[in-house]
Amino acid sequence: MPAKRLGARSINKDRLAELRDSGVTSEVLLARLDFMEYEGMRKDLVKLSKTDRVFPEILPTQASGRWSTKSPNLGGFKREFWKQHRHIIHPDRGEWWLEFDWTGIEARMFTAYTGDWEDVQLFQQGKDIHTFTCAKYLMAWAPDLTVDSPVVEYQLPSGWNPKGEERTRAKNFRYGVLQYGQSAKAVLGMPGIESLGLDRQMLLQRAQQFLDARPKAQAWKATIWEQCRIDKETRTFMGRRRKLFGLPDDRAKGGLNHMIQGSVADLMDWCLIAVSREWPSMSLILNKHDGAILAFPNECPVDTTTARVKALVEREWEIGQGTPAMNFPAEWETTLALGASN
Amino acid sequence: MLPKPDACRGCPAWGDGQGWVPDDMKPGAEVCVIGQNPGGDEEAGRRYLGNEQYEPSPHMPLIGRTGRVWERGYLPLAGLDRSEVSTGNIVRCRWNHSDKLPPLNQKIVRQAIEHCNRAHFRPPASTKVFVAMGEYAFMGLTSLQHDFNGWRGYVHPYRPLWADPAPLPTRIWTPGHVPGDPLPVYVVHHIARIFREPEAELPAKRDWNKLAQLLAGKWPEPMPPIDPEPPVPWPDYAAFDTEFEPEHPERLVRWSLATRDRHVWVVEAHRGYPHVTSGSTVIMHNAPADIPHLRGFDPAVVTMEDSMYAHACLWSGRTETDDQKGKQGGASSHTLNFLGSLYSKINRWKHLARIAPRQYAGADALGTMDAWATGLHGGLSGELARDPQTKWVYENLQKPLIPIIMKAHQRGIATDREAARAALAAIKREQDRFELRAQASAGWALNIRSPQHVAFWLYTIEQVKKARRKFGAR
Repeated sequence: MPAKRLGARSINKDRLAELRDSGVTSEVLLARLDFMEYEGMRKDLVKLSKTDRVFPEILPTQASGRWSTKSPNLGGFKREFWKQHRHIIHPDRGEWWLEFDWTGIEARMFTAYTGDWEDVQLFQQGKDIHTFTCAKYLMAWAPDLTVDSPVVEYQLPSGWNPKGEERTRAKNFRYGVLQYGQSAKAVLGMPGIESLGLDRQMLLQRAQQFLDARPKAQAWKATIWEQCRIDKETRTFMGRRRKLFGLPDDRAKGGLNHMIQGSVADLMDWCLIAVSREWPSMSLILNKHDGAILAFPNECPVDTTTARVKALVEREWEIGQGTPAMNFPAEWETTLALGASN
Repeated sequence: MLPKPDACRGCPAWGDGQGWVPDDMKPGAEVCVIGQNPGGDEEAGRRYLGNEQYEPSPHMPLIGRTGRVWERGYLPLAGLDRSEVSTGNIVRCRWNHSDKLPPLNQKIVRQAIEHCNRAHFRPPASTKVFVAMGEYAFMGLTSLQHDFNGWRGYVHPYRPLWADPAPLPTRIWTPGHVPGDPLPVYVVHHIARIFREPEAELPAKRDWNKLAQLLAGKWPEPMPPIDPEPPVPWPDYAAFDTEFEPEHPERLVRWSLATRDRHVWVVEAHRGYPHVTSGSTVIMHNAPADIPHLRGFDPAVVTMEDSMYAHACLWSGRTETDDQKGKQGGASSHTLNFLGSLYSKINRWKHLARIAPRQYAGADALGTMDAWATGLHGGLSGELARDPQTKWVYENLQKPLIPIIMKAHQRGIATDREAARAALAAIKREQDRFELRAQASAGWALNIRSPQHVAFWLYTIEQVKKARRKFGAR
């Protein structure tokens, strides 16, 4: 039977997540979800702790062109956990690794399709878009901010924590209201939004202001949704299609997801192919959602190779129709083999 | 509601003895479509006309919403209309007047199917094909409780649950190929499944389209004879597949090859290794698994195509992969069994891996060739030709990944056992913390690993329910 038909007493991960997202705040439910999130990693680590080498199976055939890795699923490790324990895998002698991780690529991709001036400018100037959203719209500490305003004008509260509650909510606000929401009302359905202490009317007003400042995104979303509802098909800017089934609203939602996530998958494919053509000796180590680890032999100098790969991975793309070209910056990290020196 | 006939007495589905929906068998009809069980409209004797409109109707199968969708959207794809087909249900009443049947693995369902069909199933003598819509009809007509998704889109010999079980064929079965063959049961999705799993629409439409070919005797074709000697010379254009030891993929057991003119080779590895010649085209399904065994392979001089990678470009939606085995619903997949159900000219072979491994290997190659070029709808290459944008994606973004992925898998990744153990200990600490958190909240030594403990706590004690999220709700 299809997985969707989960029993009323199912503790399937999807079912529990569905309950959590609907507002159930049971500590047992949340603890079980957290527990299960670590369980997959634990099983993979058991394998890793018993061998000196793993041979993951990789398939680029998931929904919207995304990749899957299994035996072990190193790409599925939680980001924070991975940062702490990344040395569970390491380069062989005679090679070095280059890891990249695109930053905020989904929001950038969305902006690349839509082209609203404020977001384009924020990205092009390298500003922290979520802190800006928080200060100008969601918390409205400084409602008159412009993209050129320095951070001191953001009126951030003392002890501002970039990983704290407000910025996290602002990030969700951007995704939930702008990218995937149907209207300003989407803000009211965002889990945990109450914790900001804003009342319903204020939230709706701020979400509407945020949307009003992004008219191109509104128009683009409406067009895409309508196309998906009618044509039952959508494509990424590179042409990867997704046939859409089900009810019109499901098609609209699935189609927009495909355009963003499928485009990221296309960029990843393009980058890996481009790098492998320029460096046939390069090996892919791991493909994660928004990044990859590449192995280069020591014959490839670290600095010049990194610079050239960076140019390929972060290059500009013209994605939307009549929208400015956008580049996709990444975080970079180099790992040398044990005992090697730079 | 119609009262149930006396023959229903003793059936586990007897209930209050009301709500009987007889089959609608048509003398002279060649197709007999068997669904699951009646819905509310069939039970009430009303035909759904769309837009919430109904008209009175004799009690018969498939006159409700599902029936309307089937009659208008699927049956015509087979070139048929309702007057030409018999219709029935594998269970001819609503179980306790609800739309839910107990799960297939419950004995009571098996008993009900046996009772109901012994008492009431009278297909006309003119029947040439049974169409099993959904898992319950599939189990009733084939006696198989499992693997509905695997058989969907293929034909299985008629082996009713209520008769002595006939032996299963140990070959790729082609109905009517051997005198005395049972009638074919053509396995398709229940239309109601498409309502809850929309991705099932594509295979369902293809299946009904293929029924016309089944009736015309054009599908399935028999499996061609297998040539055990290595091909000399290597064919210019062929599908290639390998069988290797599961635990030692580097140890080749046998390999197979099929050409467009349906010449099939299956060669045991000890009789010779495959050696491709330059200038030829090789089609594979998941090439990174096969290429390491293909000697002489050089992408500079050999053209390679991959049916799995091409299918992933054409159908990039929610899919199931081999290892997921129904967890995603199984409505769409990139597996060769799924592709075979859409494109292959031969009947199902993927259940024969252990029973008839040489037929299985040969059919893998032939099925890959059909899926790529020679099968129904012009195969994947035909679909790519009709969609140049997707063809560009396949040629420029998908196919070039094959050598990258192959190299990544072959070289592997060095691991640090000590670091992995340290990470494992960190994970255990985190998980223990989650368990303590749950125990502190519950106030008893709840085992967070135990599905029973968690389900008991959530659904019996806390009685959690999905709620429409409201602002400010706790």
